[in-house]
Amino acid sequence: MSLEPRTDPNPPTAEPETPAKGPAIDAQALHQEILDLGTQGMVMNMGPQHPSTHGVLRLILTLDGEEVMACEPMIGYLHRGLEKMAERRPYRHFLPFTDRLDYVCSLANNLACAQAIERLAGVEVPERAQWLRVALMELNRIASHLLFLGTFGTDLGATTMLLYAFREREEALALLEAITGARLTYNWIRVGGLPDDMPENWDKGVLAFCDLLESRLPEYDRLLTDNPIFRRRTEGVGVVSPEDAKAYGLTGPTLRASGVAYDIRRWAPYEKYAEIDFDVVVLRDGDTFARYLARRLELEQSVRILRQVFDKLPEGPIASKVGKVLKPPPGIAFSQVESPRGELSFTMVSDGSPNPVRVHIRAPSFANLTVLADLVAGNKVADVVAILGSIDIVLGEVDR
Amino acid sequence: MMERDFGSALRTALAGLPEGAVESLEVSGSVATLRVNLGSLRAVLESLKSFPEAACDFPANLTAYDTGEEMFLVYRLASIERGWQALVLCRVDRSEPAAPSVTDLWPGFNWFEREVYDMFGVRFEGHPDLRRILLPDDWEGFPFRKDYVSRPSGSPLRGPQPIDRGAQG
Amino acid sequence: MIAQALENPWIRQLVNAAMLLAVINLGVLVLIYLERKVAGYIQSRLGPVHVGPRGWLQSVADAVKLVLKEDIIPAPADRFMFVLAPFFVFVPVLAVFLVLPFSSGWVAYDFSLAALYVIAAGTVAIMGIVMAGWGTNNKYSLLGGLRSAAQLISYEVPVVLAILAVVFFAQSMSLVEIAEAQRGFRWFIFQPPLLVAAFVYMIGQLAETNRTPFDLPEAESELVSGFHTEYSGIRFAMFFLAEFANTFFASALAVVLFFGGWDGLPGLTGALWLVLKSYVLVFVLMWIRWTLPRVRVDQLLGFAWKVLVPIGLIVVLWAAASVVYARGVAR
Repeated sequence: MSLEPRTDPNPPTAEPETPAKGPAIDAQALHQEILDLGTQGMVMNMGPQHPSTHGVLRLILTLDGEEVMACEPMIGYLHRGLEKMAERRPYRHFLPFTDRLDYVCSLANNLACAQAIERLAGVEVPERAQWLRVALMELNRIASHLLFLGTFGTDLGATTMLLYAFREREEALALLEAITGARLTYNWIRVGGLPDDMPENWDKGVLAFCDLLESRLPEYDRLLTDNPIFRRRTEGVGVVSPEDAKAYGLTGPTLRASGVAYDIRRWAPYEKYAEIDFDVVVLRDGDTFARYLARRLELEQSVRILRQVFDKLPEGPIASKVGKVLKPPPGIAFSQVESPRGELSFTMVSDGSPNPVRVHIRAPSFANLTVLADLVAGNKVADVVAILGSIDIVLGEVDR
Repeated sequence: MMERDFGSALRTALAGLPEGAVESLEVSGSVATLRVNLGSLRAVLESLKSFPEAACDFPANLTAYDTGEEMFLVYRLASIERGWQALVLCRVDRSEPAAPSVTDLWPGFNWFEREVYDMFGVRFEGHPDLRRILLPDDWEGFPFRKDYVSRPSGSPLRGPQPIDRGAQG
Repeated sequence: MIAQALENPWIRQLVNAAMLLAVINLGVLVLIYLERKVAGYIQSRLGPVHVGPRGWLQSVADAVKLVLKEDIIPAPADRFMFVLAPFFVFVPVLAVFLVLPFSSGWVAYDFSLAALYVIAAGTVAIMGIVMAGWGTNNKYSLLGGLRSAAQLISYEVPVVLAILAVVFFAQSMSLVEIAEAQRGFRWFIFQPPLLVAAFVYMIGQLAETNRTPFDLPEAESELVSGFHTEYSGIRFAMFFLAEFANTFFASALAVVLFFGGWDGLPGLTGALWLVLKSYVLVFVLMWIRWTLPRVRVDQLLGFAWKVLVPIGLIVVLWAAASVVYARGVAR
């Protein structure tokens, strides 16, 4: 594809009004204007192969020296047509595919898919399975946020953070491997529960990991959070107001850093979250530092949740019986899960046959990425990397 | 309790709309499912957003589905303050799918509408930049439709192109 | 026959130059190994361990690898600039080593204007970097080259001011005399104005040597590799060696200016003391590199001009006043 702007197949008929202060800069028009002028504005490509775009994302930046005038994200490099593939398979056969969406936090995808099928088919999940699902989700959340801390530090130049974060992430991955058998694409949630119970002493391992993580958090703070250079790079950069954040459909820590207290675990509790005591991390500033800090503080909350799970874990079956062929009654149902990136939601439509009519995956990274174009305009190139890193996207779920 | 409040809030918000705009309204727990007809889609969505009783101002999801005979748009709006959400289903014409765009109400739906266009061919009138988002720009066909024929081998992607020395970066 | 050949002054100079080159490059190889080991230990891992005992030969392996690599010149590049740029970066670094005294009597050329020469020769490298950025004909490299030029020019000024303060105290621009003036543990670092000058100098040199937190020109996560993205093989090796040689030189110069040069306890020769002290400073530089994140370009330039230059000017005045006062008291 060349960098020339395409002729718009559907030119705007009327000037769109944006009461919520929507797009401040029309990227297409600005591109065209700059290319017409030919004097200012260097059009530069960031990606699809780039150390900092967190996957295959292409950003077409129009620069005036170091300053970004317009940014157009182009996605679709990782589009595999997963939603279409789901239509050709029975419901449960789609679960292994869901690992590959947000591959950093596979269990969240598994859970969202299984929950949607459970709601569609009216399947109950036993208590023990629900508690263990919570534990798995939170462990995955910790692993995902640690990856975020490491890669965010690296984006800004503090490469050491990557190794420290991954050192702890190794422990989490080892625990997940002990129960699921895999380190990244777990496929460990089934319709009606879990495939198998946790191994012996797994809970002790998780609690030991919680202690280890808590002892390491001050080290992360000394390295990043309290570092003046890090603060100056991130404070005040890429500020999103609460109204804009809601209008753009942002979710997850990106939204909560702007002051909107929307966490599915509290808002529409699923599994056993209603019986667990934890705080929703909400910050006011809405800048890159706030988005970083939100995830850093969520680590502590996840540890808190994990400790409570094993106190309250009951005995019982690990999955409810579901027939060999699953034919949910016709209808439409959706699930909502708080993945580390935001609200992950599967919408399924059934017509009574073994295969779904439609599976739609509402990926948080897809929605969160829309705000990037307007956030980076007016900032420096270095800030693009910082802002993109703080939104924390995974291209697997953006493109599906 | 929530059901009743939500139900009545919705009825208040939608009271001003013409007869037949909302084909059905069911409330179950904190989720309301509305079926509306295409002509009043935009009015319904605007009412849901602007009426303080309903206050469904968060754009949670926008997608579509095709059964082979009918094609539906699915909007999900949430009200973060009130704790409820509305699922709005709207049938569109399968042969010439078109719908009003709501990007002016919620900029967050910009990419969602592009994706629905990309996959189903639904033209959103008033969208500032309606072009394909996930598939290459010159893809032919709309894959998620039930009448889409996927090519048995190969794809409509172009083959290797000569490198353009002029465009660097 | 060799003795006869060495009678010829030209041959003698050539041999001297070759020896200097060898010493510098050997030093650089050690430095590269040190950097990787230090980075490893700070990051809670081991660093190179396989090649040679405890990984000692890793640098040699890297050098051999770089020499054997294919020399790629991108088709749209400006060949003249592209090929010339590494030399413009590498040669000045070698040139400044000529006046660095390792001990009294151990200096390739005892130049009475050594301090000035060091600054002047070092500035030539900036041209090389811009040439590399421009000659590659690549937007990323261009950005890296321009960022680098702005950074290097801005941070020259505080470095010059710091050196000026030292020159006041030593009453000479010759590096040998500066080091001699600190004999007997009367190091300049113990003088208050020069303590501040030392900080200014070290921060300035961090920027001059393109090390984090000032490594914008090579910001890996943003510009892939900045101005030397498209260089491979020996050409890249020249940039690489130049950077490390520069790092060592900056530390060695700091030792000569502030830490007494070859002054030390009896038992070890002076040259060894200089090298030892230089390596301590190099370790500090590495420590800083692997701990701190990167500053942004406007913050970088703002810091140079709004903070370091004013402090540098104050230091110069302070140093001058101290010298005059000391003279007045002595009289």
